Amino acid sequence: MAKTVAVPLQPGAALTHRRQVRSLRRAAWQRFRRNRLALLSLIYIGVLVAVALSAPLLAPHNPVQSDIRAAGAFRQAAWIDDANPQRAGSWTYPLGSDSIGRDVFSRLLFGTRVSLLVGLITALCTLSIGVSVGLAAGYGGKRTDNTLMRFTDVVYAFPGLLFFIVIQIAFRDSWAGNLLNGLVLLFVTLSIVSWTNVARLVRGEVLSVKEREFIESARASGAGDRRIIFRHIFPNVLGPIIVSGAYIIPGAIAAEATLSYLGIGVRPSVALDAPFPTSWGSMILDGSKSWESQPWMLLGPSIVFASVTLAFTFVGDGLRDAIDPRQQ
Amino acid sequence: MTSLTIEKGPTMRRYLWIITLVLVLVMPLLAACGGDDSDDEPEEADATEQVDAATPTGNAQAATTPAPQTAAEPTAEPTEADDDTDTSSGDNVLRVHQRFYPSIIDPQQSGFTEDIAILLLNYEGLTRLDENLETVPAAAESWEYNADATQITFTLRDGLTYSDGSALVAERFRYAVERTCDPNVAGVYQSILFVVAGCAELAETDPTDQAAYDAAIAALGVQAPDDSTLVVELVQPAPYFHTVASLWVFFPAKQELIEEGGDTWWQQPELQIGNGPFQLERVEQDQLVTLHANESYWEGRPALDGFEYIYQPDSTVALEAYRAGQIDIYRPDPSQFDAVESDDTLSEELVSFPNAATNYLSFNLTVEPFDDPKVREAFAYAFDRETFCTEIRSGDCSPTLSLIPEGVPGAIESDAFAFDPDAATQALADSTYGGPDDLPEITLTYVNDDPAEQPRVEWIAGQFRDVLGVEVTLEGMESTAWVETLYDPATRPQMTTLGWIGDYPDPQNWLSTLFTCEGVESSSGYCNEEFDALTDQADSELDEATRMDLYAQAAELLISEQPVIFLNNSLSFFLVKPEVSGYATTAGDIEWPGQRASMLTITTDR
Amino acid sequence: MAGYVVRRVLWIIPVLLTVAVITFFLMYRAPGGPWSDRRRLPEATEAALNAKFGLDKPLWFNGRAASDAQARGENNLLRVGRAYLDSQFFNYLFGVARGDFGPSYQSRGTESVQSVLRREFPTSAKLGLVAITLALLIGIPLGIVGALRQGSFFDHLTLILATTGVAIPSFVVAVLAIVFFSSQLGITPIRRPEEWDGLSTAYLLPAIVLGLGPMALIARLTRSAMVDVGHQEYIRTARAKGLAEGIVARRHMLRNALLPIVTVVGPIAAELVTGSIIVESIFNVPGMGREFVTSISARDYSMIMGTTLFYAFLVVLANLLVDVSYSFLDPRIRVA
Repeated sequence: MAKTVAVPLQPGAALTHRRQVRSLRRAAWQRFRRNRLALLSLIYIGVLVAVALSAPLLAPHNPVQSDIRAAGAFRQAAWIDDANPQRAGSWTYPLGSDSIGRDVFSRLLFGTRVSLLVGLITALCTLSIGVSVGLAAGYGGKRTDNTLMRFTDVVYAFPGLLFFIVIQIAFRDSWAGNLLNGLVLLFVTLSIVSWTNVARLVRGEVLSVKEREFIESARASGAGDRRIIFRHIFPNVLGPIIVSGAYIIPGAIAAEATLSYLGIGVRPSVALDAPFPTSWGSMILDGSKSWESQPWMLLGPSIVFASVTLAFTFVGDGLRDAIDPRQQ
Repeated sequence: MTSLTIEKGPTMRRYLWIITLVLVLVMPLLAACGGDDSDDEPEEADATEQVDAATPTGNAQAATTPAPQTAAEPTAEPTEADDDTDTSSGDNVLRVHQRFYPSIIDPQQSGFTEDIAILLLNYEGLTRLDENLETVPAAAESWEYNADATQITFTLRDGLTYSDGSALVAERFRYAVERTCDPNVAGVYQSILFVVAGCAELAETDPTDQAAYDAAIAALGVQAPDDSTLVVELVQPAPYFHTVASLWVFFPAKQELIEEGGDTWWQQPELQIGNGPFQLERVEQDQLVTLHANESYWEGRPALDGFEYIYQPDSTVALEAYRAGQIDIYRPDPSQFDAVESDDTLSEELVSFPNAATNYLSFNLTVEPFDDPKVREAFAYAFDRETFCTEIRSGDCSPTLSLIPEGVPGAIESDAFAFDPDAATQALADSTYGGPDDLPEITLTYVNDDPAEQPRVEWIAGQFRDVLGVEVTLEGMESTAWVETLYDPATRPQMTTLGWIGDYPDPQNWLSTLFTCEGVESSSGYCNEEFDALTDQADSELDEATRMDLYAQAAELLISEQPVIFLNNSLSFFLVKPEVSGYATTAGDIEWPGQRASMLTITTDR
Repeated sequence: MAGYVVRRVLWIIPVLLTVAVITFFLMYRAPGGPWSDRRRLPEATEAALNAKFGLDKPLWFNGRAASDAQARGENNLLRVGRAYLDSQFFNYLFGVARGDFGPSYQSRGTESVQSVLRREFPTSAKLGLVAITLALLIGIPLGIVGALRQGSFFDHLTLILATTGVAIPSFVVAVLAIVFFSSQLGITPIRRPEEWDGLSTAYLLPAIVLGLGPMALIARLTRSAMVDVGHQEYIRTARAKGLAEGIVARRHMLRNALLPIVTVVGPIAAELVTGSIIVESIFNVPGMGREFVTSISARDYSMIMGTTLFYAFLVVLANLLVDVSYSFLDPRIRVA
């Protein structure tokens, strides 16, 4: 019965070990590349990042400028015709205009910035905190587990919405609240509220993996705790971490939309050169009110958002498959 | 075996998931659109229909020139109650949609339209307004002023009862006045009765000082010498007071029931025994308020068996409920106008008429920079009211530059501070700041309960940015928090939009009630002695022509000072099911067409 | 195990206490008070109301009352201590110990918090339970089939469902669902209040909308966990032994794959059961979720505290149940 363990640890194999690790990484990357879907998704995400960075160059109109006389309110998407010339689709406004005559396509491009930023940074913070706490709780002794889990309980038990609303009310007008139109406040509050799930998940997995045979053998051959955690346990608990990571990003983007719906989201800014004028979440909110008049106000950001969610899911799955040492 | 390799197979399978994804996302939308009539396929017939329906401003403007009357679109003549109204069937119930649930349904405390919508059905004052918005007898069958209009005597009808059959006597109305002026109650409409002798003094009394309190109550100038007579003493001549007696502050809620229920008495329908055409039956927080017909109403029972207000804050769900036949009257959100007007059925059911309502952008004159009149002028010149109404608000208002709406007595013509970008920049240059750069931070506060409001305020801020070069910060607030900030100059927003709906068609209700030093808008910091002198004199003037002239002078003064930017007058648009008939609209109808004058005659054919 | 459970139950108290302290602290950070929700009040009235409900006392500790007591010659330490603790926070705690969560300030004291919760919690609970049941009933099988048929059309279908579950915010799904069901199936959008008594079909649509997100997560987690477990040795052993695929799946994989699902379901259930503001407001559900947000706007302090503590209690309970179930699911895990 072949044991498919990460790396068999033998004393005196340090040098070979490092070379093996490097080749392991390369092997993982090879596996990832072979997964075409994951690769495509990664490229797609890269394209979106590029779009976010170069939005001012790509957007046909200013996302904040409301040119109501020229654009007209609720102009339909370019391929949709309408008897009213003010509302007939035209390729000057590829996805049409919104309720006050702003170009939907340009707003979509600029919205990528906020949404990607919210998603990625929140995921990063959430995962760092959650994974650290989870690993420590799962692997450390009963007392560490207990203390950390009770602390997690308190944070988890605290209703997120109350936290959001109160933090918004309290800090909205302070310097911290004004950074990036309230984006920084949003990241911080979102991360504080979301890390507990990851922590519990990781802890559960660690508890389970901790008892498996290969860990026993690693310990028996004298490996220290840190090595065990990083070389053996961590790769084996990556699965659920990656899956939930792939959900944190779109979850954060959707949370921003929901918070805007409740009136405690990112503050709107009408400065012509505002770097973060809007987000997919706000566009979905606007669009959900006017979708009967102009459906692409809602469809545009929804489709892009859904595709990004899919992309992150595929990347997540691909990563998990690539890293999993037991895959043949 | 990796998990997500797509098997090589027929091309269809490879793309199947893309198609399914798109379908899952788009199907509900398609389904909903398909359920309507042609949305995106314009035919010749549709084109003409759209053009007609898309010019509501045209209709409204035609209708505003005469006095606020029954307006354009399908309104039936007020008919007599049909004889086939089956008192036993109980199916003839009118269901009206409301967005906001009332915060308090108490005659002497309520101030918002959603509260008053219920009060107007359950109770009745000494007088009421007819479909021409003229004051006619209600609980009182007649009234008489003394020689100089400093005293008014009301004579109640014989045999008046509450809906439970108990006698309704003049003492009840006396109590209503007393309760309005009571410092413990302190409703928002309290000041409207300050013209009654002793009312202002009572309102200022410290309620913990029992002796002073009792004395002030005793000194109140309202008496009920017998069951059918009410005598009110006035501090100065007030020839309009019989109209004030139609307002909700006069509604005779029963003292013993209020005391029984305590602070939340108004939530229990059995404690709200009223004398109006309907009687409150059921109050479900945030959901539903129902009333049934009052058989003992003095003019005879209404045509309807019952009345329902259904509360749903989301406009899409509400429109769908209207389509599904769950509600009979629905006021569409401006963002839905396009969809409604391009729908064959819905565009037929749209009723519109002008309201005696003015919306304005109010300033806080106690803080910079709006203490400088030139800055206020600059912002006034910078506002493109025309575009705002036709494009941004999809035509649900008509621009105005003065306070009193056309058609209401006291309205004046003005073209001061109309949209003029050059004049705007000039005014800003002439101000103490010399231009946009030295201005302090300016915040435009708005209520963000309705997501549709956000693009509109973004447009407004965009205007100020484009015309004046001023960066306005937008601040959204929940409505309860916002209401609270309005009463104190220290917390009042720098800029925020407000509206005023006329309670009765008299310039006193606009100029004196709002902008005097004691008026409703006094917390904005506006207080002009000259204005007060003019309105005080006009309030007590008995000669009609002189009176109107004085009010006109006050109105001109107000415009020249621009303590607020007058924006527009509201146009009401309602979707009304064809089964509903028997109503005549008035400019005072805010919650449903026929609200003011057709409570008895409106009916459905169910 | 029994000792472990007892210890965990005892731990609930300090956890709830900490939550109470944090909530209390945060609540008072928000400007305004409980009396300003409807109209401006004259100062005298406001002062009288504050006195009536004990809102004029200091927040945390009442040093003044303690020193007053001592000045009066009070020697009994218990009494002085009690005076010292005559503050809003401790009076609240003492009330809770007696089962009294305070008056709802929105009702001006005519209704107590526990009475409001008793009235509204069952509706939210029913909604949440139906939602989580649907999520499990549909999510787990979807995940299993996805894992067994990796790369198939079905696998991709679950992926798509999972995506829509997370990608579209609930207020959009809710509204679209209502419109779709109303225009196509004739299901009326607005429900009467009495339809929420008992367990009627009215709960179905909002529960679906509410459960969509959790369903997506559960499906993906199941699938991922089963794929993981599928690679482990004992499964390969079982396969090598020639056991039928179905038996292999059911008996071995599922039990261990349930671990991450259980971890997640517990707290999610607690969250769903205490109501979602958006779904409740769009579907006109008279539940706790909407009440919670209203009470924050209205600064109804005791309502906020009561709802928060109740919510926290449910979450902590759910976590305890999850932890206890760990040892049943995977005997090798020793939490106790």
